[in-house]
Amino acid sequence: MTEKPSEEFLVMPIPLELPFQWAAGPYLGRFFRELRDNARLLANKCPQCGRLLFPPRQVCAQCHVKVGEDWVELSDKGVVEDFTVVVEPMSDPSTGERRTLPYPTATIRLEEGVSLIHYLEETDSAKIREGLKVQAVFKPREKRKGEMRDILYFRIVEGP
Amino acid sequence: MRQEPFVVPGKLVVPYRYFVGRLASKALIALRDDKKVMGVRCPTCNLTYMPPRSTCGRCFSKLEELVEVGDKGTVLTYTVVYHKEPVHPMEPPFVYGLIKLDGADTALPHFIGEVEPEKVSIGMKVQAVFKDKREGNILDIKYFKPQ
Amino acid sequence: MAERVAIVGVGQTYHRSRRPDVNQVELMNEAVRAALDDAQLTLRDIDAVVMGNMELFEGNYLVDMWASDGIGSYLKPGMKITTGGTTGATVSCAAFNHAASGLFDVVLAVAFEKQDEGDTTAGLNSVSDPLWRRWIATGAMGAFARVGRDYIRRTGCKEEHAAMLRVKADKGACRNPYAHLKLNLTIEDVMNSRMLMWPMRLLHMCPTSVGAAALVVASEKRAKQITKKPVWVKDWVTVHEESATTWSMVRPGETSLEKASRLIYQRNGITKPAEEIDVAEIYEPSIWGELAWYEQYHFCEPGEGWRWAEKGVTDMEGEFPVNPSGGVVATNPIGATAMIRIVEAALQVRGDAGEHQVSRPVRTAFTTAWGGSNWTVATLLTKSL
Repeated sequence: MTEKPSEEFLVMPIPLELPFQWAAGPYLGRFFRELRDNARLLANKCPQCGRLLFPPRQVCAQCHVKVGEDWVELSDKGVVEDFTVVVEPMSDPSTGERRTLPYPTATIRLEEGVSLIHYLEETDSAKIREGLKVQAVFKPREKRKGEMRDILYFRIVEGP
Repeated sequence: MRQEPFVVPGKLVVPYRYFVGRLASKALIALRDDKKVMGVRCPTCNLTYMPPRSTCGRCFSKLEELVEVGDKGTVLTYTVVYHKEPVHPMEPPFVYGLIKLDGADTALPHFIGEVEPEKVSIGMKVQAVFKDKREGNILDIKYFKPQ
Repeated sequence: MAERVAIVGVGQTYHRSRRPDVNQVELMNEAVRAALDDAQLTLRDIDAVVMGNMELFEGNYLVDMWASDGIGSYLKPGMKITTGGTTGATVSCAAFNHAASGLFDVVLAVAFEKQDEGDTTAGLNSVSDPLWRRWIATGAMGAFARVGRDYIRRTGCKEEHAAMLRVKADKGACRNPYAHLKLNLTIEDVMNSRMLMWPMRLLHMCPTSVGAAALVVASEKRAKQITKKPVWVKDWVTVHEESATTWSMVRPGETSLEKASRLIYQRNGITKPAEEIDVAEIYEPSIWGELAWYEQYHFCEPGEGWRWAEKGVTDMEGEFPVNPSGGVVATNPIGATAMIRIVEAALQVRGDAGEHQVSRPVRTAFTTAWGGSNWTVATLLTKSL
């Protein structure tokens, strides 16, 4: 038989695919249910410092106190605080697939002062600026599952 | 108002690839190309490890001496799998065994085949059955069958 | 703490993009042997072994089950630790704690990453919480692009300043035999490298490296027996932030970077860090992190970092050298990276850094590590007790 190269290093491809069931808990659970059923965004309020917790949660990490049921409905409007355009291919660990490129993501400050990161509808980076006013576009009810992607993206409604 | 817990189904998918290293590559290439089952000998402890490894855990010596441990061995222990699971490599019932190859001091986990599960026993002498199309991994041994 | 502790041996591998010739355990073994050789000890002298990596980069979630032969933990006490980018520092701190507790005299710490075996960004995206943020996570690139944008907006810094620090890092790396990227860069090379996410260019970001590092740590009594040049671990601290969903890292105010360094200075009577500390090895997965974080570490005034870049304050020959090793932008075997900061700082304190030994005499060194946007580990190393 033929002589193999003396320095052949073997490599074993072993993909990992594991199923999970993530419990949202009562606070995030209520948030996702509202998002799915009524296309509404909720925050809850810390009884000590009074700030809004978004996403809603059980404990204010700064005050170390339990946050109760002081729920606040948030506006679906905000401003682009910060944005970037993703041009580098990367895997989505939820699917193992490469994300479709390019896509803009932005930090959006809602009218109540809390922020989230989401997609923008506008993909031309020349047309995106900090300070643009944007509004959430929700998927239709039958497509909403109770996840952040129930918001399709944020649409520019007005320049700064 | 009490509501059902909100549970989100999801998964984690990441591709991995593992380099087996210089020493184990040599051993698995011998298995792939020549159907030779190799272990590695620690001269200080006078022990032969199968699967091979490049450091002796007992004395921390570097191990480089690959030795053929042969394709025959003894069943140290075994279990029979009767239930069906998507992760299982074959249809139940099938047998997992720990096999000490004649030239090795350690046990290799592998399948035991060509035998009724009820007839497998501790101390049974077994022999490796090789795949025809071998790729350089431990599954180039299809299973062990009774000698 | 009960016992004072010192670093008595350091080791690391040559860091590369790919190491098909070794498996994970063999990679760690190289660093362990190097550290034992440096300490002139054998495994018989080691009382406990602490190890760590970022397991989701290898998809091997209990690598200590596999590694006991190669790291020498067979029949010895110890533990495995994973804390993201800080892993190597947390593993080191665990070794310091083991020795400081008085329960163990000599402790081995080893950390590694074999990034040629997984998909680092997919792995990193999977550390984001699955309910709120994973779907939009963009790994470390997105996080540091934000740091850069915020810094530019806040301070008037220009892209050239990031390039200056990147060239400084490369000069260090070119003199460091173990460094991964040695590119002989010019400012133009950095400014012309591929844009990833504005303002983040390819050369602003760390590489994906394969490598391992190890430390031998000893109690005061044993340290003095083992070596004439112990590096005393004067202090170490970890500080956490609020959950990453709040994006506090780019906001003004109290961050874990600021708090961890302030605690170390306060507890050790340091009032002017850049004067009283002789060299710093900081954790900067992107050069934007180095530029924006000088002020977080209280090295300089807010917004002054880019002026420091212009003046070369933090060059190897500068008044306050930072990352003479080339830093994380040159070498990033993630789980080991934060330990390499401590290894390199210890070499500087000993005067054993060779070609990349800084001009300023080193009595005190400061290191940091940063992980997951939520926490910072800082250590202070000294030449004398």
